[in-house]
Amino acid sequence: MDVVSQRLVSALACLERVGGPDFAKALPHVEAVLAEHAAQLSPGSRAFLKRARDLLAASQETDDVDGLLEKVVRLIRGAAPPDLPASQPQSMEVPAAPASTVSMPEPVAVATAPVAAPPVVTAAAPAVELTRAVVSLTEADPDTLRDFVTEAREYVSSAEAALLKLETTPTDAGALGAVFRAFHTLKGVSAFLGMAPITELAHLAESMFGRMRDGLIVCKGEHSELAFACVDVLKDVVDVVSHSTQADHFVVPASLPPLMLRLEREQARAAAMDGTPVRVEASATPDLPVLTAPEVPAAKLEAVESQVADAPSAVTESQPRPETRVQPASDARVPESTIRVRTDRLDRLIDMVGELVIAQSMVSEGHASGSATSSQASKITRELYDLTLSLRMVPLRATFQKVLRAGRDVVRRLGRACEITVEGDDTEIDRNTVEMLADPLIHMIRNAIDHGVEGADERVAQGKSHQGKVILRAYRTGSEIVIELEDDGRGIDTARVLKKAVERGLVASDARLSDEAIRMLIFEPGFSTQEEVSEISGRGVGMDVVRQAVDSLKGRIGVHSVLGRGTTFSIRLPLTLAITEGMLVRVGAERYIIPIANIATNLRPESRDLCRIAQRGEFVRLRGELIPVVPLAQVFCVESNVFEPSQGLLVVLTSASTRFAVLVDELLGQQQVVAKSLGALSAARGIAGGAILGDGRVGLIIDPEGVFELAKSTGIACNPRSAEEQAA
Amino acid sequence: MKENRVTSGVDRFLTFMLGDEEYALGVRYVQSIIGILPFTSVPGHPDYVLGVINLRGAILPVIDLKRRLGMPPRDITHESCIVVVQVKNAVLGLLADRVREVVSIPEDTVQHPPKLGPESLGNHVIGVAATEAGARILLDVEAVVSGGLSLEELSSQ
Repeated sequence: MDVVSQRLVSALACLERVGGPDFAKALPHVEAVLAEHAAQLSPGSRAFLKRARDLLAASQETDDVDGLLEKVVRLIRGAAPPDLPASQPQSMEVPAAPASTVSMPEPVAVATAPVAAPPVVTAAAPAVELTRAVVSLTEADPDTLRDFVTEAREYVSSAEAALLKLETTPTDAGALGAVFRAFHTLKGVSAFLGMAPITELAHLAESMFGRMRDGLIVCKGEHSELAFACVDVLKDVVDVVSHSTQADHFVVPASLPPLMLRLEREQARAAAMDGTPVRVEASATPDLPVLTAPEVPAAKLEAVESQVADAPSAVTESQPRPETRVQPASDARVPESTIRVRTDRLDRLIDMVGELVIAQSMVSEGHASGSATSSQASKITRELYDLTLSLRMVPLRATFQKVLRAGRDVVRRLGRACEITVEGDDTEIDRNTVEMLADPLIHMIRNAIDHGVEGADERVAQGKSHQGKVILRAYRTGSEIVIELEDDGRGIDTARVLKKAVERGLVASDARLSDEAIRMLIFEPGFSTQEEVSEISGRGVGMDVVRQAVDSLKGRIGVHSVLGRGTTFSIRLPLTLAITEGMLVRVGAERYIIPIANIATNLRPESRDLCRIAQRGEFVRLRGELIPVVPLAQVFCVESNVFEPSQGLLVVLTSASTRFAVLVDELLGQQQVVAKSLGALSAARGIAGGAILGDGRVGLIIDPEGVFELAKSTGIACNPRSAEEQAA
Repeated sequence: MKENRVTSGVDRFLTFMLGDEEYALGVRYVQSIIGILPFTSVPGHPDYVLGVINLRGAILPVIDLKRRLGMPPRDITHESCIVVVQVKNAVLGLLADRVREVVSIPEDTVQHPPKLGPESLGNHVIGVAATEAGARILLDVEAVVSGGLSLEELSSQ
């Protein structure tokens, strides 16, 4: 029984599980025919598979089950017409494996009993995935592809997690099993969707991990590299698929063919050592421009179709789909984002909504006394609120894993002895935030290992353990998530940072700054370039970029360091971006919400701290710093009877580029608000969005950056530096 | 909302008063009609943008139709209401003095006015329907809404 029929059986088996009267009726026949003809299904019957799938898919729309059935049966009977040229690829020796020229393939991993095969094949793959795969019968359905991409990413990610675990304990049975299962499932799902390149890769990888699991090889050194390469290439392929419109027609990334070669050599070597005969086949010689990747028997079907063009970057599947299909415009393919939600949360949500319905009917039927119902309703509302927020929360695990992986690669590349540990990766954070965190964190861990942690000799000389230590940690405090990256390396040399900052003109040469303020200089744009910083402290490579990213997430970044002992970066992020912790302020009759994250301090200034510079606006002196004052009423053209800062209140704001103070009439209090867009008016300058306030009215959320830009462009305020020049 | 189109020749319109004139706009744009809710004014927009309101948890911008059409504003009365319309992907409220009725207007009763200068009323009007009850001015909702608010921008939300 060849791979195709095996797949067909497994596909049909899961079709049966999915059910539907049509399928249930059709299946016994199909399977009977299949069992009868399994032996005749030739490797060229791939096209048959596709047509069978199309037909089965069509059955969802037709009432003529019997006619359909007949068609399927006819199709299967005719699956291997005798005149079909049997594919006889030429045998070819793999250079690195002298023992691989042995004759007939013995498909070790493939079950041989046709009828007994279905349970064996399908049992290994979780039913859910197969069920999902069945939906794909309507091929090139974007939903199916998206599901596949989501799933594939999960498998790749779980495989990577397991591999990272194997780094430290190469024989961990659980981790080996996890990698194996991930690739096995991917193989099944991709085969069902006809994604031959993925299937092949997953198959080869699976065999390798199978040998690891069986203790034939150890996941170390070259094998470990190969394993990681599998994961990386799979990521590439899945990325390509995620931008593709057809399951079986996409450009294979350049990294795939070389990896396939490596995997095959590995397999051939293993087989040689094992004594199992393996024949490697290729349909073209390597010096021809069109090259079919060499293959092992179990994967030969797909490989025949995966033709490698002369430029390895442009590898496409050769077989176009027979029917015409509506190709969505390229820009129309905006991926709809989905999120996985824990079912217990969903169940709880439904329960709460049910409670709400009951409470509502109690009110409308007049059964309940007012206060009891209202307290019940407010309890439900609070829980609903928390629940709905939690639906957006995802654990940091996936992000931390990426970071860990990047760290591991740097450790490898530099040959450093460094142990990376992760703590609190189950901390949950808003999904939007988590996606934007990965890059800054990767940047930071690279810095920490590359520049922070010293070489082994230097460490020993300083009385430290020869192995460096980097800890990536996350935890929750109140309404914030804290992510820390701690290393026990050199620490930041404040004297040198200050010297550099002065050279760069970031601070005045006579400036007196606290150590903390000096350390914060590394986040300044243009603080230094890579080479120079690695001389000083090893920090600062693009740290301004990291800070920008954290700013955009409404978070704060800080750094703590002891020279010679290590550095800890801490990023504090709001739990969710949908909820803004805001300060409600009044300006005239209007109320505005200022995000707390942007507020440095509030003050009612003494008149001696205020100065007005002609044409430059008003300034307040705060701890020796000259800060521009922006009257909100003036910027937003609101009537207010507070004109002087000494009458109202100054709220000092920090935005990414500047510090300034806004003049408001009074503070009304702190409030958590759900940020919403203003719809058609979202382009308003200085306004980040709106929120429904406690009284049901809309309050506007201020965008500090925009407010200052607006004030500058209308001549109400300007930068302190230019004001200082003017004053001088 | 296509089903509101009875036949190709007859469209259904919601009529409402602006000042002393009766105006009409295609029913297919109308989502709902609501009473006056407290506005929050948004800085940096033309004066005909009254501000935003809280429409059942969503923020809805509201346009004062009279100011939009260059008519003198009138105080909000108990008869004033907000017609919530959807144009392409944008949902907006239009302030009207009083809503009257939903009528069918055969296309052949509509007289198309000559285009006057730029920014004139003529650019916001499809035509004038002469009926027994008097003349009704048919508004081009898309033109009314798009002025000052780029619909391209709206459709991205």
